[in-house]
Amino acid sequence: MLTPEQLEVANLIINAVNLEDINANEIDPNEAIFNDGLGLDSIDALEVSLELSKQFGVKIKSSDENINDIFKSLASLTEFVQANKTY
Amino acid sequence: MRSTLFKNQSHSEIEALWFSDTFIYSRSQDQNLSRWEIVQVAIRLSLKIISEQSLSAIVFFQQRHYFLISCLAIALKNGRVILPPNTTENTLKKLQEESSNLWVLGDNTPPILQQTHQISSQEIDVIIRSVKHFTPPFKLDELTCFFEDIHQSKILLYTSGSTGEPKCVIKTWKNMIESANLAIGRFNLMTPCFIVTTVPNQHMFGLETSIFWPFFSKASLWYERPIFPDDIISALSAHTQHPALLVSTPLHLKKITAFQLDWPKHLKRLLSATAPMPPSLAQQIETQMGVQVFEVYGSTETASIASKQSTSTNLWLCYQQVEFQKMSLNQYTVKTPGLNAFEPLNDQIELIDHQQFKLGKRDSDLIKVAGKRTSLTELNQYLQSIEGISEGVFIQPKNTERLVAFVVSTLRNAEIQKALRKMIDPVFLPRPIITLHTLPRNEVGKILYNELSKELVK
Repeated sequence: MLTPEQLEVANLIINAVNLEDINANEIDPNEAIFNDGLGLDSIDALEVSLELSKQFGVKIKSSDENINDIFKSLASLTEFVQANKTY
Repeated sequence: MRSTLFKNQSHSEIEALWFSDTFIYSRSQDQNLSRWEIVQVAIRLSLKIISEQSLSAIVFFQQRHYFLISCLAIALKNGRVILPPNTTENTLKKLQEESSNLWVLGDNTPPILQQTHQISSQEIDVIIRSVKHFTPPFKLDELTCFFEDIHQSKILLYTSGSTGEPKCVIKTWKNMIESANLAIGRFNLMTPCFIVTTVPNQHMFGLETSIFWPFFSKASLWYERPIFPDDIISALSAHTQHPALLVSTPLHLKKITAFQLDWPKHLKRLLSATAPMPPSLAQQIETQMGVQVFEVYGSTETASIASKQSTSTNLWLCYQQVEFQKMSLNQYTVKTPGLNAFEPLNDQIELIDHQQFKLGKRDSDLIKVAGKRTSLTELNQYLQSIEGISEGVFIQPKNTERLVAFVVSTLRNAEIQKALRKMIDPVFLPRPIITLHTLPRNEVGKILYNELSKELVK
């Protein structure tokens, strides 16, 4: 079961990269989102980060955090968003 | 090689450029590297590589300094550097079978290659520290010998496979340096500037712009491949004394322009390649970033050969010393100092004069259905103009004349058909239309038509 915060981020990803036939609740919060998992790439990451900055005011920058850790799973991305959101 | 590498430069100029100037900028100043330090690290790294038999090496590093040092070290051993078209298990397995003495330089090596000889960034870091601790004094003779030693070593690149199976293209260091000199002339890189590139080292455009152009000019370089806008801006801000040049692709740039950003004032030029840039995007970039946008034309086989300033002309201006030979109507071969022989161009061109040309259609672009001819590019433009379709391409499967369209879209197929019927001849209507989450693309954003064909079999 996803937490409400995870569900919100999951839906954001699904909309950002057009994964229409995936239901947010089917995503395992601890599984990889990129490459092996949902099969997203670096341009998708850019798309997701744009949506995150619009909706939460979160700026993602690979230099000050370990980007691979942030994007590792839905759980880690949600945690990052919660810790860094400005609205 | 000396004559081409160091032409018109005095000893003191060469020493300043290779020994004193910073070449690669990192986040912390004590990790910046000069060209001479890179050469010294490569020499020491090469001592770790055993090459009693023919040596091949796959270099996976994304960071520019690790990549360049690795390539130089392999070249010193007269080894072949292999830059694979992708990192799928099948590709890597095939390369492994073909190479008797294979080395892998990179971190997080794919599992299938874990039994091969490995060199990681940590090992290179140890050598960098020791070279930084004591840097041998600059000797022009040593530098000249170094390049004499490597200039016939080979780099194996692969075509993107966007027009079929990836094809291996072999370049010597000499080829790459001679090609780079043409671009250095065109983009005035013998005037100091700072290059940040978002493209991978392992494709021709990335290899040229991230390695060969800066290393053999007076340009300095950012050590990483930034993806996110904030990373690109912080990379550009690492060195503000010289005008900056950003190298990217239309796909990446389109995403970046969606962000609201303050671009640094010293960013003066932007270079784009791998796909045509829509004029509207070029205009938007010029306004948002305050830069001049140049597109670069080339291929894996030819390296880059021409450029154009996207917002002011649709004519490509060839680099100096680029010659064409006409084969048939609009079909040409091309020769440059970086090519051993005339190479066919993948695209049709219309020569305006000996220096300028208009780009025509790619050979595989012209198709015939029920006796009627059209161009896939044209059909794609119609498809992409439909509201609700974010990406879309037509293909003509091998076994049938009828076209298939792949789309990323929120529309129902019937709605797409209805919209297309208004724009194109009914014989070209796609049957079927297949909706995907995303179109398969390689690292530089080119559509992988092979993958689409596989999708069709499913």
